[in-house]
Amino acid sequence: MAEAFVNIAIPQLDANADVYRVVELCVPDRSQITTGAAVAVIETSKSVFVIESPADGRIVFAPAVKAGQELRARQAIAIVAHSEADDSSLLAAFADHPSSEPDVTHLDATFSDAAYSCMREYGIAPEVFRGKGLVTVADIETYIRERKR
Amino acid sequence: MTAAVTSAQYLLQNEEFFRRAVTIRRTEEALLQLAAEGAIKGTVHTAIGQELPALAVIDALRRDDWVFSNHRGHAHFLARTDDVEGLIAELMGRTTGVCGGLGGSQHLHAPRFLSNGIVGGLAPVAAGTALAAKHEGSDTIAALFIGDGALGEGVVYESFNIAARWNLPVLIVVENNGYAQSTPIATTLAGTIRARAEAFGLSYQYADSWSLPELISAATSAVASARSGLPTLLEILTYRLSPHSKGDDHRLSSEVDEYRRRDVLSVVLADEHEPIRVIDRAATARICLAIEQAHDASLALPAVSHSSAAPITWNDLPPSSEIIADSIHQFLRELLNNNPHALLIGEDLAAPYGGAFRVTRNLSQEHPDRVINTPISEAAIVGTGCGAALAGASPIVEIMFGDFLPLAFDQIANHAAKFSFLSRGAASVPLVIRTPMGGRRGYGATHSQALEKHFMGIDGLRIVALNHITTPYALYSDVVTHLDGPCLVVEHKLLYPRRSGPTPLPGFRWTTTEHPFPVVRLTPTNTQASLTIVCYGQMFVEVVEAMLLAFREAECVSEAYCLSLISPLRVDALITPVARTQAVLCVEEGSSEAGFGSEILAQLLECGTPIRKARRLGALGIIPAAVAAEDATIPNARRICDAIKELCG
Repeated sequence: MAEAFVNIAIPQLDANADVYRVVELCVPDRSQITTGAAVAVIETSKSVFVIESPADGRIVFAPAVKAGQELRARQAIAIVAHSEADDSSLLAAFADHPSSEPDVTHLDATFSDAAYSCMREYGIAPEVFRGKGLVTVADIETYIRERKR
Repeated sequence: MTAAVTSAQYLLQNEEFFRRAVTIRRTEEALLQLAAEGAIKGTVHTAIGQELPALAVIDALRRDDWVFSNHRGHAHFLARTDDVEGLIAELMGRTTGVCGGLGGSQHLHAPRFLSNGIVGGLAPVAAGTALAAKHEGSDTIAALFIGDGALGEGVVYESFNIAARWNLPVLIVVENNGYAQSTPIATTLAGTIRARAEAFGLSYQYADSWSLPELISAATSAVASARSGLPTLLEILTYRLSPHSKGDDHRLSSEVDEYRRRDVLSVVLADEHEPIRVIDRAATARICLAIEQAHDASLALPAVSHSSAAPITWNDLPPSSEIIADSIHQFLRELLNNNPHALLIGEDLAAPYGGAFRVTRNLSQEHPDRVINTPISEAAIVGTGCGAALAGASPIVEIMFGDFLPLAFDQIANHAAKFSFLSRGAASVPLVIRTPMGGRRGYGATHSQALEKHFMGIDGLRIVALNHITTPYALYSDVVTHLDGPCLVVEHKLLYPRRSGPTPLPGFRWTTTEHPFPVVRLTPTNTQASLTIVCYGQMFVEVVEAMLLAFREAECVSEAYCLSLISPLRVDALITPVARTQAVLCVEEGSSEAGFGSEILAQLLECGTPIRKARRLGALGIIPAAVAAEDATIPNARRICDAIKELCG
């Protein structure tokens, strides 16, 4: 039986460099991709390198991978999954990869770590703070006070 | 018949030549007298005894040829211009002087004539004008006068090499008067001047001061040789009868007297024959009148420019998503396509290498004659660019690593940045100098530095730093559109593979001032910042990351301003925000002592900006090669974040 996915790892492009910066993810996570299509752009010592998809299928990026992040050579950046594979089996491929916090960037708000903990402690949905910009503990506390009223 | 007698007869038979020789001699004698009387301040490097070589060479040139003189340039200047009045007024510091009194003895300017006070420094500049002439298909040549003392300067040999390798129409005239200031040539020159010339493949010719017909013949031949495209060195043995400058002469008087007896002009002027006296009296009368006129003229004063701050408007940033190296490449490509005078000059620029960071890749295939690979000769690269710019070309030179820029410091600071001032704008140097700076590549102490602070504050030089937000194409368009002198463009190595343009950051807003040379800022949208961060270049990347870290970890809210024009430095855009936060963090990649941050803070304080807390953040020392050590030395987001927390606390 064929493997459910194909690994895409950061190549060792430069004998003197083990760490590469992700410049750009070229396709949306979980989207369909074809062989040879650009997956990501990484920065080498003197130029950029485009990582291409080795197979057709559905691209699944490693958790928390984003532009600006530094990855080591041979570290997994994504997998290309055959259509029959389910997500849970795919994520096992990234077992050595650091997990990420829930993505809240679509809310047009940035939470301080303390604000985020406070919000979770009180069971407040992040969506409450959509468009609020920089959200602090004081903002969470103000929300709680106003909710009690 | 002796050479002296033949030469004297030649002088007497060529009255105009004799008149000009006498005028030079009497003018320089008058300059020494004026210096002794205190009417001339500073140095006076005369060339008494060396008038005939100057006249012989310059008379063999055409008016459209370039002449580059040196610290001992009065004779060359007068041979070229006959402007006694302008020279005397110049040395007396009068506004009627050839440089408005701002240049003095060593810095003279006339159309296609320049002298400068750095020995040998004009050699690559001469090569650059010849390069431009060659590219334009002109048959003008560049004549460079140097003394034997200049043969101790490395840039002279860089220039010999370039002139010979590129077959530039350059004539190098070595006036060998036997002394480098007070030191005899025998103690400073190994081998021979001829051997040095021939080692580079320069055509070598020889003459002396005392055989005038032969001197004129050699000068004519040497000029023709250079004009044929064969770079030529003409050595002229001569002798300076006057001191190096004013009274500092330690040579044996018997030696000087011996040469005075041989000096053709001295011999003829000792003759009481009336036609000679008439010419001599006329020259003296003209000089006396020139001195009177200079006394009556006003003293030169520095031109003080007062630029008022333009109102600042902040606009949203247009989206952009260009790879920065590609954007620079595209700008250079279009420049070459649209401007036939554009030249790219530097090491390893041509295909297949295309520059150390691949910015000029493939351009030599499209423009093989205008993408020029050079030897490893940074001073000559910049000097050649300077000369080409003087001659009307549009050169962009590349220094492969910014760490190598100190090798060209003299060409930037003492040449390219000075000529416009000394010529009162007539000899501008629209020269772009590109260079990658900065670390985090593991290249170590001499390939990782951010040295731009050492060039900041050089009057006449503009410094622009690329950043990751403003499109390089747009910034380079600003550079070229406003190129009124040399401009150093700092390209951080880490920027090349990045995409330019703002990334949306929830809670922050990107805005920018108008071009040219915009300031980019990142400010919080729903709250006031309690700290203003000022930076430039690649440090903006680290600053932005640090701002987010500091907010997430400690709820410190800061704002950042990234300057693209870092010299001359203006703090107009910073005064209002800093007055509001009263806390400033200046971040730069180089060491912070006497650097960007120091200047920012000084200017803010001078403007009366209230500042409660201030800090500069820069490299902690020499850049090590080991990755971890390098990262700990150069400011990174973590260190900047810690500083933000400290200042916000």
